[in-house]
Amino acid sequence: MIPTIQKDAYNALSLFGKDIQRFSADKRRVSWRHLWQSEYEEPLAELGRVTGIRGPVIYYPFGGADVHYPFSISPEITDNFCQGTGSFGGCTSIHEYFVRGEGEGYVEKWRQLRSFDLAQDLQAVNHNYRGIGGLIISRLVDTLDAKIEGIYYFIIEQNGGLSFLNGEEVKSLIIDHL
Amino acid sequence: MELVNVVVEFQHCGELKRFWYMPYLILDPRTNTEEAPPEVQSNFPIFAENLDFDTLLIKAANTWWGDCADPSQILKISLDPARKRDARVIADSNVYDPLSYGHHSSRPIWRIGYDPGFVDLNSFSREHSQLWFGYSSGTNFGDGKNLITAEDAIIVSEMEKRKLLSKIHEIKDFTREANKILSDMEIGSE
Repeated sequence: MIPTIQKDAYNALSLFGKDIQRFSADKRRVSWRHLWQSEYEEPLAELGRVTGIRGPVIYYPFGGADVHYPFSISPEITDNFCQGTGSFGGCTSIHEYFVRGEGEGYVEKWRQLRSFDLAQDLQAVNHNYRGIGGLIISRLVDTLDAKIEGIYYFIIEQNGGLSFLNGEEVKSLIIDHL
Repeated sequence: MELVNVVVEFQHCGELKRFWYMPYLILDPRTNTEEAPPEVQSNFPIFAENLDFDTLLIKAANTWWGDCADPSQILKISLDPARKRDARVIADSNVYDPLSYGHHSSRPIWRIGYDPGFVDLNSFSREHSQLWFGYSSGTNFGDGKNLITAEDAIIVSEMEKRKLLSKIHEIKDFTREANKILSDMEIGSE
């Protein structure tokens, strides 16, 4: 059973929606998106067919900011549960990534597909922006042409259940402490 | 306070999908111990144990066992839940082993005697692209019931180390013998 997002969970997208909108609308990324589609999407989908990937839930420990493989290998995958070592970051962190990430070369760097996502590069993003959330969101938009609908923060309770944060908790906890 | 987790909801190919991100600092030796500061405490292992999933993906896991004091902690959040559910498993054929750095050795994840499926991702590649799957383009796949257990993993790892040591000894013996022959030849030519 896929965990559900509680109805009273605060959608933090409103805090930096304009940043994402601006990034999504940037025409310079269109050519890169076309390259991704033509060179990588179909081979990965073929890999998913040959290996018998089953959906809708994929579990990806150590996955970090790799958002494009899990969703490209099968259209059946609707939920990717990913563990990583970096913080996601709060809205200041995400805003800063979208404002400075391109000028500081990170956006372009992460468009270069390599054998793996360099741990050092990931640590650099985590360190410079106090989280990898901006990077994750930009890659969802870049590689999958995703339209971001919501960003919800939650904690894992002692029994393994999920408890979503409300507006006040998001604004105080995330902004101040991450 | 534990690290905060996030789910990003998005539209992709006309469908609503979710990327769930959960930070868990497994390599911090204080993780989930009494000495752990709040930021490295996490209930993630309990969540992973209970998560109902269909496919396990293991790719570019450069933290795989290497620096972790207790390897069973790594298996607890990765292979164990997949074996319990008999989930489909797709993994890099070269699951990096930091302990064997420089020897291109791979950590075993499949039980002894099981032969997982293999695909070279580049066999699907387009003309100008080279595709990688983790540390190699090779991809193994199979069912979770064939994954290694913590006990097996330690045995296999030890076997591989011994094999490697035995090869090093063989090379050393060979070099010694070759040097001796060369030395004898030089003496002979004098």
